[in-house]
Amino acid sequence: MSNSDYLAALGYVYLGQIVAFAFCQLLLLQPNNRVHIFYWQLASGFSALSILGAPHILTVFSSQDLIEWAGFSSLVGGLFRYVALSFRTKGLTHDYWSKAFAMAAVVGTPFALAPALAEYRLLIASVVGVAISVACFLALLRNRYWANENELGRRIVLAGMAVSIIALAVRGLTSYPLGDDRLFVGASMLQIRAMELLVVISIFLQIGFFGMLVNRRDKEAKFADRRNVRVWQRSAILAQRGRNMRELAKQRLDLIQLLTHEVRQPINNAQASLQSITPDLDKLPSISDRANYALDRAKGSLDGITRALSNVIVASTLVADDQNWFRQQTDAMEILEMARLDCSNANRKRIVVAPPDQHIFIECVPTLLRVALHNLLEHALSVADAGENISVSVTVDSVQLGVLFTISGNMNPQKMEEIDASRDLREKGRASPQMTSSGLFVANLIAQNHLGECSIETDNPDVTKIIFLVRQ
Amino acid sequence: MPDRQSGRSSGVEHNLAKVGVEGSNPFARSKLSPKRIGEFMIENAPKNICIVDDDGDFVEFLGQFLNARGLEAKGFGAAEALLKSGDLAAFDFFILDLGLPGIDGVDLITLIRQHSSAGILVISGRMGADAFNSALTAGADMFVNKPVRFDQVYNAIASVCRRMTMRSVRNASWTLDGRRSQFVSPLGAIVDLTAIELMILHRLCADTTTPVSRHDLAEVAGLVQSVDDRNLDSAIFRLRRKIENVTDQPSPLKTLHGFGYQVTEAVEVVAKPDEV
Repeated sequence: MSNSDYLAALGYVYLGQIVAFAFCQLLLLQPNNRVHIFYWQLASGFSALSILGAPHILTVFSSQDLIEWAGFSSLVGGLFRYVALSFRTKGLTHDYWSKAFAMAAVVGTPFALAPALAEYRLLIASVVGVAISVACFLALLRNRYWANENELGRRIVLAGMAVSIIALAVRGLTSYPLGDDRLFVGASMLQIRAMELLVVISIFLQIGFFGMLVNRRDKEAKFADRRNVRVWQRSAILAQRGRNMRELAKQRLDLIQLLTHEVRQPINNAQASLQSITPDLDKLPSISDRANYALDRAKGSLDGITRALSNVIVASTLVADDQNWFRQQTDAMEILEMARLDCSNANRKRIVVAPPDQHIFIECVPTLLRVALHNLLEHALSVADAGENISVSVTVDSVQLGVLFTISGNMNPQKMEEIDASRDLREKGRASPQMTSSGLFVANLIAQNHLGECSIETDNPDVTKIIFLVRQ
Repeated sequence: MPDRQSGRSSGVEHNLAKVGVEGSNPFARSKLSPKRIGEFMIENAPKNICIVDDDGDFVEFLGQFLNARGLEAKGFGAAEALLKSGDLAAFDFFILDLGLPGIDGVDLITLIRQHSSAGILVISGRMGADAFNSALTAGADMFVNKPVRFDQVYNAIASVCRRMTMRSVRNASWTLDGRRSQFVSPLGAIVDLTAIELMILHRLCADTTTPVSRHDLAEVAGLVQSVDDRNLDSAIFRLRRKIENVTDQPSPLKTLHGFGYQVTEAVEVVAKPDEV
């Protein structure tokens, strides 16, 4: 094989490995390494162009003009390689010396094109090439983007860069005017050895860079795994904390319910006893008003205690419980009557109910609605003028698509301030048990549970209305 | 009679003396009369009421109260006592507590429902979705929270009896007649439907086991879908009220909040709207 054919073969090997590794690198393309791969391939492209211009390799394209551009193209390729190795996730690495060498190379590169310096082109290219190789070496050494537990790829590239520094320095020392060679590619033994070394170094650099990309990908996969594990651990801790909180809340709720139940049970018994003797007492002709009054007071007190306890249970259940209550189709009057009977005997007489002409059925939780209406009735009675009756009506509201329980009467403006306070809170979307009576708070909660609302109408100064809406 | 001093009488059967005043039985004259407030009348009054509650005083006093109103009532302190008595089939109404010693109230409801279609009223101190839902799922007709006045128990019995009357005629099921645009109740009350109502009901009745989404219903009825589906909600609301007003009983439509609607009772579809 002639020297010319051998050089051509080396050139094809050089070009072939560049193309082959370019495909391999593209297979590893990811959003976080696309800049590196792009600049590396750009560098490989310019290096390939520099070889294409050599007269012994591709004779079809070879011309004197291309030879003039070969050194420049090779140096530009080297600068792009520097960018590929120096680039981190954002911007170049902050290493002073690598930047200094790179800047020197940028300044020196155009001299490779100057016609007046054509004789010294190989020397200029070698010197600038040394600067670029040093810049690449330092950048790669300092760039933490490429740092990894497995350093093999990086070490190969560093070794390649070190060898290329030495080789280019030697090439510079053997070029015109220190030596005879004016071109990098040529038929002399030195030029052939330089070309062989170029191919070998290039292959090692490509292998090393490929290894760096693989290592980087593995490193990011490990990071992602660690991140996922941390996220999973954090969510597991949060979930556990949530479960603990729920468990704690449930235990508190159970405790409250148990406590209230334990307190309520004897009161229920006392109520039952009082109820059972009431008919007998009524039959007695000589029972004094004082005894009757005392009996009513006892009943009223027990009613008040049980209502407060029921409110605590309902409120704690509604606030803490995330379960859905079954809805039942129930006659609105049945529930209203239930709530009316919850009131004390004396108060019950003050409630005037206007029954609707026809049955009105509502889809609701009857047991909750009973508590809400009882609270509203008691509250209306407590703020109504002494001895004044209150009236209750049940109507269908076709505009709001629901059933309205309207409690109206002549209510005391001063006492109504409490209701106004609860209304203000409601308008803000939240009601607080500290700010208003527990009865109104519970009624409000129950209205919300039924997608409805509790509102006050004071348009008419003589008649105040408490309106409880249950949406259907 | 239970020992008044001991208070609780778990497992003890209470034979309650009937102390009702002859001739004053409100059930004898009760006939679906329009109810006045505070005076609920019981139609088809139960002949034998069974009360199961571990609170002996409550059982005794309630029994006396019901007897005074002309109802036969027998009390038990625990579910086991009732089952051992062998009288389960003899009762046509049950008043049960949930927190019973031994067999739980919910299990007792399930047991009763396996053998009887008697009315079941639950009176419990438990106040939560769990208790309420489990009692109704097991087959209870009504759930009333303690504390409860005996008048309220009496009214609750009346309500359950009214529902049982409805239930007894529900074998005939509702009928949707697409040819005449009519919806007929199990009691024979006829509801005339508009075209939109007919379309909605027909879609809902096509499969009563599956809820129908708002989107599907609006599409079938040709309603313009607004942001909040108000057009459809209004149509369903009016339909419900119309059914209730004409039939005097709850409509079989159920709202599934956030999804759509479902028909919860059997409906016989006579002719589809498009066959008319």
